[in-house]
Amino acid sequence: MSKSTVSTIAAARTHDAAESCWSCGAMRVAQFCGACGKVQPPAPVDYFSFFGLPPKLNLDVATLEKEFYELSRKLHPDLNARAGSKEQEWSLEQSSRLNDAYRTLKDPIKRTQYLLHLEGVQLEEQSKSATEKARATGEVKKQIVPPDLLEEVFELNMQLEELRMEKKTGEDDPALIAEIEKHKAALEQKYEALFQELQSYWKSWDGLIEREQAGQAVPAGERKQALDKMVDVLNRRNYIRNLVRDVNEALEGSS
Amino acid sequence: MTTDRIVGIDLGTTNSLVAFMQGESPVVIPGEDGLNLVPSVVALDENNQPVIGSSARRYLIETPERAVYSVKRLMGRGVEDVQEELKLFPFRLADDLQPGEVLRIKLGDKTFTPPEISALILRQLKRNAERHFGGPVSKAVITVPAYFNDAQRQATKDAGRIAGLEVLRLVNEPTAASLAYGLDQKQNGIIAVYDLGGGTFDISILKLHDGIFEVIATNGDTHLGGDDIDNLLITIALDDIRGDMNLDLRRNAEAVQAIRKSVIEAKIALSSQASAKLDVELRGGRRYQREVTREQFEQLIQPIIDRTVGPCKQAMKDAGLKPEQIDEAVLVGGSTRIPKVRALVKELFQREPHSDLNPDEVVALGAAVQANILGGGSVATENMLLLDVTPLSLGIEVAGGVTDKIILRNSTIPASATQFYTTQIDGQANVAMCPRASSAAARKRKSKYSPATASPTSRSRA
Repeated sequence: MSKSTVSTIAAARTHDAAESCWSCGAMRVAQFCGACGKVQPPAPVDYFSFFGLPPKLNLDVATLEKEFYELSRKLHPDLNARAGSKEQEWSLEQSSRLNDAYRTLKDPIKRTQYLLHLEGVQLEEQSKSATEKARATGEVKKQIVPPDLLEEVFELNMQLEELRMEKKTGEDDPALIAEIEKHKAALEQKYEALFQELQSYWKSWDGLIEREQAGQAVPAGERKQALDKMVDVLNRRNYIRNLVRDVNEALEGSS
Repeated sequence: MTTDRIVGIDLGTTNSLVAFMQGESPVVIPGEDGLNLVPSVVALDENNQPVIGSSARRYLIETPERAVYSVKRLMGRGVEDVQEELKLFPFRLADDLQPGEVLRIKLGDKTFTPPEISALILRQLKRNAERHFGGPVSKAVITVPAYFNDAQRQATKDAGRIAGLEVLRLVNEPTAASLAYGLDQKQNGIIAVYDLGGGTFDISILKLHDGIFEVIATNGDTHLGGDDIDNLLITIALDDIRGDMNLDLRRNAEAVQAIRKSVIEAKIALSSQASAKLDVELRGGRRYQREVTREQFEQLIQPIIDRTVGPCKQAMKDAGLKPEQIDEAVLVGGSTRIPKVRALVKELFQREPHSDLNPDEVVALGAAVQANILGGGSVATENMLLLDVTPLSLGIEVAGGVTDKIILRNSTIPASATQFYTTQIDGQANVAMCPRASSAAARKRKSKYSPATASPTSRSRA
């Protein structure tokens, strides 16, 4: 699965480069013709390939932005408003593809999630909408407490329960609130640290892609390991984010 | 330019304008009366002929049942959405309106939908432009509040169509204003556009980069503006009159309009004077007079202008920016002439706000710039490109009435999203697609319902 994704990307890119412009017949780059500048029909490529990038996670956002602006100047519907109706349609599709790709790749977390998605990994959904959906439909949401947090979460949940009870009876306990705030600060620190950890896994993933690009074979197990580590970090990160949200909800109006 | 003339139109709550690019700079096209602003007032004269703009104003006082203003507040809204407006504005809805039906407003014994009334204003602007060019005008860029939802935008497009205009684009008002500002300043950096008009408030934060105007975040309130200040003052005056003169004029449309005229004059005067006088002649030779100091005025309007703070903070949060990272703050809309509003903007963005361009005209000028870009550009607009965003998150309603957001607010448009859903029960043959726009303010509002059916190829796993 994972192997084939990359080869599809490669195939799509060669396919693109081999095509010629519908308007002037010259060889074209992916989205517009290098010779006459006309917008081309969209090709089904992933977001990395759209920007002509390898599927690596460490990327320079300033360069990406520059590229985004340059491509916008070619593809945006406002600049193709006087073109034929087909071209206008392609310009709309290409431009929305460009915006989607840029929005996804410029954000480090969305970029990682997208790569995982390309690699066929299903992420545990712990977003707010998933939580709401679960509440509405009565489904039990899968929520695994990361082992390193077990003790802390247990204690915190007790305190949150206490706080909710006190809120109902109108009591005020500054010491309890201070305790909870302390936990919250620790969680937020962990949350930040997890991002550093994620970046270290990006490095191993990118190294692996570089080896592949150099024609070396990468064992499937190694690939899976790199992906699994990222999934694990993202899940832990989501868990903490939700926990902090619960804490904030509980604290609302008490401090 | 030899191609079709494309004009830029600001269809405002209080005033409307039409502008175009003359050579390398945008200019407003005046009406026959020589004035740039066309008041967004429509009336029917004695022969049931529509009268638009300044000349319609006298009908507001003489025959209020044959005149309407601030109709922008009703665009794209249903009868259930406008109950609050009906308490504050003298809109007379048709008696036979059914729930869910498009609103119809009575003028004399005729009825009009809000887009039809807006179309009359647009037609007047079109005529003004045609008189100026000595030739037909059929294409336009029309501005809308950034925070308008899909139904409100669609209603604006309908108005254009009814007026015989091909609407090439709807451009968000604060973004249009930034185009007018950016044209002669050519700087890079982050700007905040604070747009408080007659009936709507928008805040947009943009990144300017070598001619690219990229909106990073936008927020607002489509029912907040100078109208609210007027209504507050009218209510106070009516209370005064009831208390002091034992006269209840709340249902007297003519008297209310006379008071409205007086409070608007006082409001405007208070932007440059320390005090102003409300002076209204009432029936039977009686007179209502009251001195209002700027200090009193500022105290009264504080709660109204404070409602702009939340959207500004949210927009900054969404943009991931702190006030000190904003390079410029720009004022748009007539209500930003109020010194207290300026002080608030200064405090919010920690810098003296700009108002070099006439806040009443800047949106129309920007619309003319965008019209020029769409028409192929000129030397002045050669490198300019506007990248705007969707102000509201867009989603699909899923089981349990929950909205699954698939395009988040402040996503650059055009945008697309693909989401896979399974059917709810085995063997289900149809799916009703219900797109929704959501935001804190519009969570309950339903986006335009477009039913669709789909035949799932595989059976649901339930």
